[in-house]
Amino acid sequence: MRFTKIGVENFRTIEQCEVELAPGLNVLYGPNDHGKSTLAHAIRTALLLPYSSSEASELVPWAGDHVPTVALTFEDDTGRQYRVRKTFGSGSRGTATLHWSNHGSDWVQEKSNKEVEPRLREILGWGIPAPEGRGGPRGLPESFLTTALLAEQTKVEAILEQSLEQDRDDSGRLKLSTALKALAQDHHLRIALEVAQSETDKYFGAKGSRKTGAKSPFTAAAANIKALEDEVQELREAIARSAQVEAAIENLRSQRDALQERQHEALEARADASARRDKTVAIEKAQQAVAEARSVVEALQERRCRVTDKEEEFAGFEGTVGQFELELAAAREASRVAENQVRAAEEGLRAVSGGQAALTRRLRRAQIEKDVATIDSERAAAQTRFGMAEAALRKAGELAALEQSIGASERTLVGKREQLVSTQAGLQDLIIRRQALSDLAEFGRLQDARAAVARAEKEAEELRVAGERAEALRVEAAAELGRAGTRDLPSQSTVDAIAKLERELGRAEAALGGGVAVVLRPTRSLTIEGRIDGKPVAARSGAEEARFEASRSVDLRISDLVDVEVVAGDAAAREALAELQKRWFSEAAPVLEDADCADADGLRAARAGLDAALRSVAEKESEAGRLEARAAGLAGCLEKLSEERVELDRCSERVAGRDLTKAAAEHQRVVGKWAAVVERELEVIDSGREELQRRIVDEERATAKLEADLGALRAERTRLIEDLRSASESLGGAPDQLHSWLKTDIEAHDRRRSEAVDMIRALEQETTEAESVSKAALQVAVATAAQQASAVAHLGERIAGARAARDQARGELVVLRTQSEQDRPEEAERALRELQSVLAGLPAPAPVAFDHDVCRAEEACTRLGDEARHIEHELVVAQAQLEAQQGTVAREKLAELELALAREKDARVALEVEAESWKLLRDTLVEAESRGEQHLGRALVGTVAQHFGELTAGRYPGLELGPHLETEGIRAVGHVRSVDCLSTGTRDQLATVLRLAIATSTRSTIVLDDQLVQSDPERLRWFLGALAKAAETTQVIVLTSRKADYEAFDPQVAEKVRYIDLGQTLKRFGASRPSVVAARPQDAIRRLQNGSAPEELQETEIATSKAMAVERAAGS
Amino acid sequence: MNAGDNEVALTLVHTADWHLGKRFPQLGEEDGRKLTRARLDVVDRILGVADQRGADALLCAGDLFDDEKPSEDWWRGLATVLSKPRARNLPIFLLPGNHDPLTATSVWAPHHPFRGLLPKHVHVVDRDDFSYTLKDGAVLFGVPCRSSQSHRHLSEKIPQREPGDERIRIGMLHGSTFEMENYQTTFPIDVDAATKRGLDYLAIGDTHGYRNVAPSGSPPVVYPGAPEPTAFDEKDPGHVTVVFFTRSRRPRIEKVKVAQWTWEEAILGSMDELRSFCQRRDLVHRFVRLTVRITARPEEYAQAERLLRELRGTEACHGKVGMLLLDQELTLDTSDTEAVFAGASDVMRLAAAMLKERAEGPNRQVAEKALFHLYMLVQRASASRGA
Repeated sequence: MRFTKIGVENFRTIEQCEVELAPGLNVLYGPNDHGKSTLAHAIRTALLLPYSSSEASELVPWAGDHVPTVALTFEDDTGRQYRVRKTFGSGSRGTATLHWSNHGSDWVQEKSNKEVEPRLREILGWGIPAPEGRGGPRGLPESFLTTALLAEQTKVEAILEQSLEQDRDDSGRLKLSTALKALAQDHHLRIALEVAQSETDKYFGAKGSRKTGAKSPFTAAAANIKALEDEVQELREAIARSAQVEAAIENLRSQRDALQERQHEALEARADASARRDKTVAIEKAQQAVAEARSVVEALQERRCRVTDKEEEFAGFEGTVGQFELELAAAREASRVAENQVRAAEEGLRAVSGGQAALTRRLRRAQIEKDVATIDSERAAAQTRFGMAEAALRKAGELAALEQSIGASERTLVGKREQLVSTQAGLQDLIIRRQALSDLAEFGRLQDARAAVARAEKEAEELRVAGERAEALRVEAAAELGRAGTRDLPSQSTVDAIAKLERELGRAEAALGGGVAVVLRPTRSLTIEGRIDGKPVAARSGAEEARFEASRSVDLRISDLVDVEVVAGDAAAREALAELQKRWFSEAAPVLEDADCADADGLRAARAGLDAALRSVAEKESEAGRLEARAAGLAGCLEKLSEERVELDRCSERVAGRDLTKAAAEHQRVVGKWAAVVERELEVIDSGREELQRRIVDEERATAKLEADLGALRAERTRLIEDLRSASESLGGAPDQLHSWLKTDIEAHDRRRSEAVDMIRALEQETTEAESVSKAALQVAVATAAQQASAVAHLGERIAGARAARDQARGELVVLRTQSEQDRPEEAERALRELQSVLAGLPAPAPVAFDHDVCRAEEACTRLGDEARHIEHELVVAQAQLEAQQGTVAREKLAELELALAREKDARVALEVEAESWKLLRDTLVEAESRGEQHLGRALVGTVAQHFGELTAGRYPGLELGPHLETEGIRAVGHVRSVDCLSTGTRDQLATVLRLAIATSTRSTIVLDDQLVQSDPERLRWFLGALAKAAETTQVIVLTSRKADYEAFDPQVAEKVRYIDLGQTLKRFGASRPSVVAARPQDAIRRLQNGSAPEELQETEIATSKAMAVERAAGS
Repeated sequence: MNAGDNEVALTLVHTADWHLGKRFPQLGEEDGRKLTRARLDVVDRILGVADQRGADALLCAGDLFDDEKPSEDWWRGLATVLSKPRARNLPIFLLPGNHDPLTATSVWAPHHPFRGLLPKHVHVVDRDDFSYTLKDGAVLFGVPCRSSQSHRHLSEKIPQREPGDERIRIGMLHGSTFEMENYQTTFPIDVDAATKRGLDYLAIGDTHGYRNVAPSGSPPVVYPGAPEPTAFDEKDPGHVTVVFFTRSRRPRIEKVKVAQWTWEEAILGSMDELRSFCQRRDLVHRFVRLTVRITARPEEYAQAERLLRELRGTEACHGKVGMLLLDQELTLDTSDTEAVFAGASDVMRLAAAMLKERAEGPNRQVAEKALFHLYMLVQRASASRGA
């Protein structure tokens, strides 16, 4: 930021002052108590004091009721200019305005009154918060930067006691941080950060997450791992399958081994059982022999007993036979009596069956059976006629139902016919509506065709006009190009180079300045002509003394005798000028001559004019091109117009002769939408028409069917009527009457027949009962006779049995006695004892075993053999399965793949470590940098300490600045000492060095109000160098009463210094009004040339500037 | 030639486990390809040994391909090598192993184009009753593997020696003679199978190191091992066996090295060991699995990385080691970080201090690596400043 102008009126002691300020070093000098500090205060006031501040009352001059006014124009870092103007007065007399401008002209008011201060402080960024209104801090606000840049004369050292921490707003810290960051930028840190960021970018995205794209190293690593894991998984599965089969084989082998053991045990068990069974069989055989012997003995004993028993039995049979013969005689007598009784009963039964009563019953029955036959014949005839009557009645019922069907069908037919007529009427309506829509469509098309023709005609007209306009533009462009001329003007860079060379030439010529005076005292009459500072002078003749004065050079030709050239300045300046002139004539002059321009400004103007003309021509050519392109469509448009007209004719022909009145009315109603309406309605109508046509066909078909059905019904009715008539004739009466009569007749026949049957049954029952009584008596007699005969027979049998038994017993007794006489019981008993002895000597099996035990053992062996064969078979199958697996090979490959996988995972970890390490390094560097930036003192202390060391000739080489730029002290001999131990002058100088460092780092204007008065000449000289250096980048405003202190600059520096005599420019109350002085007329000229002179520029200034411009032009 | 050599009746070269087409997934693509190619190259050297020793037959006892369906490159390449002039009169017997079993679709199948490319002197053992009469009536029996694994004893298919049979009887099988518990055996071969079947030499293949597994005094049962190593844990790989039979059927075995590559494992625990290792001259044809566990100060760390780079090689130059499998655990010694970064700017020193502090936390590895990167950047900056 830099100030360009300060204007003050009625401000304390200043009645009026206006100063233009240069970008670099400005020395504003004036006598003591002339108002320098007031001017400095006016600057502070303009920038910092609210117009309504109560402190403004202190600004009012003593002389009269004036309104203090300050106006400051400044330029921010972006080149934008601001102008703040404040009047300090009570009520409406107090105002503030803030204007801005991009080029120093066309000022735009941005803020006014209360809005000015916040905006101003925002622009400044000096750590001053916006005014807080009533109750807030009053007066001039202070911050670290206001103290550094605009410190009052009496507060030189204030900066040494202040820090950024005291600022109430962070804008000052931000400004300084930004400035010092650039100042303190570590080149190596930058490189390191770039490398770290570049490496980090390889692995991470903008949001800090790992890259996952195809080119990401993580992706490749993950893909490798995934591929290996898949392979490993496949192999593991193969191995698992193989292991499963192997386990199965192992299991089968175990089973086989166990089975073989069991087989062995079973074989042993079978052998054991067989042995035991053999023992058991031997014992059994012995036991059997014993038993047989014993049974022989016992049989012998039994036979002896049986002889005795048989003898007793024979005696018993003899007694029984005698008893039975007595009983038989008694039974035979009883049987004879019973036979007599039977014969008597048979005689009674024969009497019942063959008597007179039986004959009567048979006659009666024959009569009744004859009646029944008659009744059956009559009933059959009646039944036949009844059937005919019943059939006739059914047909009569059918006829009645048929009549009802015919009536219903006739009603249905009538309804159908009505419905068909209605549907046909609806179809007719639709056809009429369709015709109306067709009219509407034709009318709509006709209207559209007319509109299209109108549009095409309009478009064709527009295109024709565009073509004419393009042609006119081409002509204008050609004319303008002709006006611009064909001068071969140099490029803008050449123009700039020539302008620069011209400025350098001007400076070189100015450097010769010092004045030249040539006095010629001719001894005779001579003609003298020549040039003064390059400008020709009028020739003079005679012998009088001639005096020529110039600022740089005098060239004279004296009567063809001699040419005299006198040039001011030292040799170096002359050589530089000569060199520049040489360059000018070789480089610039030919260009200017070619361009027909006097100087660089003319050349620049010509160049600008030519550029503007060329731009204008180009714009016109472009516009013409655009129009021509548009007009190129004219032919197509005309063709289209022709087509539209043909279409219109076609439409007109189609509607010729048709009454379209209704269509026109409807078109009026749906204008613009007629096509949609027609399309929509036609769709509906076509759909409805098809439906109606289909319905009509259906209904006609249904009506025809109904009519056919009705005809059939009527024919059937005729047939039935005929049948009924013939039935009546056959029956001889009305069927319905005959039907009931015949029914009653049949029922009467049925009753008579039933009564006859009952009578027959009664006759049969009577005969049966008489016979049953006789038969019962016979049966009793027969039964008694049979019983007696049976008793006789039974007794005969018993006697025979008893005799047989007696005879058998006698025979057996004879046999037994014969056998018994042959028995040898002693021998049998001896044999038994011998066998028992053998049995006792046989070994006993433990436990006993029999054939079935051996069989079971045999079966177990067989079963185990089967199981063994089964397991062997399964083993063979499992072996085959095992051979189909990849187990062994898979295990080998798995080991290798697992190693590879482990390596890939290690590689991924290494990759992640590499990636994370670069990220960590980047983050750490950023954090370290941030920490370094927070300590602003570190960034600034180097410059300040270096300058202070130079100033004090190394006496105070070390300086400590805190993180908030607070001055912590001077480091000397390893200790930090307070700056209070410095002398006042040194403290002032340290404060000024620090302020200059802050101002240059922030590129902000600094105001030094008589701050070096305490400096000795040596240090003052150093300061002049420091100020000159600072002024190269920063505006420095020095207010001093000792101008001479600031005149010891190097010439090159001095040339850039703007000295402003406040004695001339600042009017105190009671003094005459000064004029505005622009210390450097070139600036005024430049501003004039740029046309950017502010409106406030006084006429005097303009006049001065114009004069300087004229002078310069003359000099060049 | 001495008198004993004159008694040689039959000379055989016995090899196995070529594993042509084998991949090495733990290696990079280029290194893996080197090792894979070496497996075919060595076949040529084996033929050279046979030629040089005047062998009467070359017995290749299984696992000649790594897979039963190798890609065409491999079977065509092998057919080409076996068709070379130096092998023209040499009967060569190829036995399917458990890696390349004889199946209907394998490379050994009769209809496979590989079989069509094989010259007449090359015989594939593709029958269980395979036999071939060699020089002077010596007879070779072979039984192929027909699956990847099996519990079958293939030796049982070799006919036993008949009484009065005085021929030299050679057997050729592929399988495992191990009977260790929990060790997966496939195609088991009894160590005294030669004795049981009346063989004078049983040429077998499967394990990749040379071993004669026959009991003392019995006819040899020999694994020649893989002619090129396939793993670091193999004992004595890289040979073929040359067997000389005297007329009395007594074999004499010579082990001949044919491998191009030697596999080696090394563990280095200090910078001195690393430097010493780097000075070795025999690393060109070595495949080294190198484990580096070194704690180093930053400058040593940088040197270690440089040395390892020299060993490994870069895209621009070959490494000192033929092939390197590196297990690297370089730990940065951060004890004197302040001294190391003494010449650096304030910010760099501050960053180094922050990283050192983080290196004492849970994320040590990352922080150390970051600190090392910082060190290298500072060194580079110093170097550029010096330049």
